[in-house]
Amino acid sequence: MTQSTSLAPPLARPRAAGRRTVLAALAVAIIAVLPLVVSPYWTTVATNAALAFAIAAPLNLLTGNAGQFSLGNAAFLVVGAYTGAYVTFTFDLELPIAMLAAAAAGALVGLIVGLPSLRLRGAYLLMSTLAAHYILVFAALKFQTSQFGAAGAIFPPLRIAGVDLSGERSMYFVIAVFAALIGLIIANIMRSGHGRALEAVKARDVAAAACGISVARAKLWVWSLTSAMIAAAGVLQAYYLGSASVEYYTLNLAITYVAMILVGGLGSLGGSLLGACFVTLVPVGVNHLSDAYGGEGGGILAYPHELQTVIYGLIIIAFVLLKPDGLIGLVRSATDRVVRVRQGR
Amino acid sequence: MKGSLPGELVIDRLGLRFGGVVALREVSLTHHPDEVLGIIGPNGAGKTSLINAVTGIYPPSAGSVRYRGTPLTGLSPESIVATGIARTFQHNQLCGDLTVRENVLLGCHLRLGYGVVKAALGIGPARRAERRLRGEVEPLLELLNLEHAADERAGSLPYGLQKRVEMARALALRPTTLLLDEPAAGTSDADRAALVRIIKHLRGEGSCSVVLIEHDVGLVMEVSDRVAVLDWGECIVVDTPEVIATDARVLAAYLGVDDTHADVSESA
Repeated sequence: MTQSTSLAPPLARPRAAGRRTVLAALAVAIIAVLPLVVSPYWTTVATNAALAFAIAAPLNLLTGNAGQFSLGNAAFLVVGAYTGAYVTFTFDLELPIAMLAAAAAGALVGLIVGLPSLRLRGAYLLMSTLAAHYILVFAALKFQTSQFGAAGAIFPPLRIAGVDLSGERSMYFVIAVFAALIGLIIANIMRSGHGRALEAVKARDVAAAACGISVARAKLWVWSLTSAMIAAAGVLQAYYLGSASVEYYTLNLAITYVAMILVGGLGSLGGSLLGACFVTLVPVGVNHLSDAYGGEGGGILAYPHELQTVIYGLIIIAFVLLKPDGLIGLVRSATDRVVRVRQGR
Repeated sequence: MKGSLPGELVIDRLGLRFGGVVALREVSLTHHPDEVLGIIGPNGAGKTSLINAVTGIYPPSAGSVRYRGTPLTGLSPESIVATGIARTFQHNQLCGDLTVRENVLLGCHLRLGYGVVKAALGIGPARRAERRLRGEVEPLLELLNLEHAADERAGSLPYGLQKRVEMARALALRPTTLLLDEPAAGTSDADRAALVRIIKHLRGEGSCSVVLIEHDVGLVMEVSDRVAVLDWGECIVVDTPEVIATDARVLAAYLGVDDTHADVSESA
């Protein structure tokens, strides 16, 4: 980026494999130790961030890597939550099975929602996913009314193989492990030939086809796979929240995940993580501010929810205008600078 | 083995029209195995349209294309690639965010040998295949003098270098026929010399026959066994470079045009 025509050896790349191992070890260590060293409040924040990452990362694979814009995330979450609820309540199945069932339903629905991507791109594709959102949420409402009643599906405390996992710390571990698995799968895909094929589909349909890549097949599998992941996360989310009700799965929710990948950095797993943490922390920060200064005469600080929305909007505009490669771009340029200084360039 | 076939790529009365505009009119051409066939013609003569019609980007409106006896007409671009025809583009079609090596690896896609599930699990077969393919693209990066730029982002490279990356990617497909669309356009003298060397190398090696579409007539004359001349979507003559250079129809149709005339005297 900076040295456009220079043929100097790239920075840090050759040690990518070693760096990956270090990063993975670091991630495992942080996940394992975190709840032991922070307060229950911050464990909750971490759980929310991990859950957000497990949803943002597949979305980023779809949008950032494959170039498929989608507002269907909230709908995929409700598809997952209700499939999970249905099989759990009807057949008395455990969480992993419920998640697999949700993933299967998500894969099928994702495939169908992805079909227009064979003909549409950009804003037009986005509109078709918007339509899908409303259709799916409407279908979920009908399903909710007939299966669970007006209040939605109430999930029991989480138990797997007879072990009670409903405590805050156990939930944290369950969700963090799931998020790590999602991250691992996506990392593997991104550095495989199929990940390259997605990049080719995003950049140049024509060039992808000239390499023998079936653009249609690539688009459909990535829609299907990422929707399956988001639907599986939907079950976990519903267990964590204790219930699933259609009112929760709004367009606003869908946009929140889009905000994460835009702010974090499109097409980057680290970007998904940073974006998920950042967007999870905004309400935390706003609530702190609001508690501290939002009393009588506190102006907009007295309205933390509205303030959050405004802040999201401003942040997204700022990133799209000033730093299109997101938070991960900031991190990259910082580390590049450190490496360059160390190499004495 | 290939010699027993009457022609490798047989284009028969190919027509292509966009609404009222006729891009190709009854173009018939046979590309023999192991030959370098040059295609020249003034701007808008239909050179790129011909490649696009052959490779399935634009479905032809009339006529047919056969490759080693297999009809190509109606096949999708990716199925045509699978028959052994690779191409480069007049305007670079690289993935700017991927590195040079990753772009060349894209050309190996048909030989990945593992599915999305194995890729997702990151297990043995996928890793071994990646290692094997990385080994396979190294000689190509060397052949096209791209080793030093292998880890650069393709989008950050100068134009001429990008053209070489495109050619490396096309060769990574291990084609039996390579269609080059204006590979020398906008490149330096050094890039041009490298191009001549590479085409002659492919010709000598005999692994892949070449169809060369090029504005630079001097270059085409230098490396082609036969040259076809397109004008207004029609193929007006096909012959050896020596005959083409003196053909009255070619002179009238092509060399009479001012800007191309400059081209010829420059490269002569």
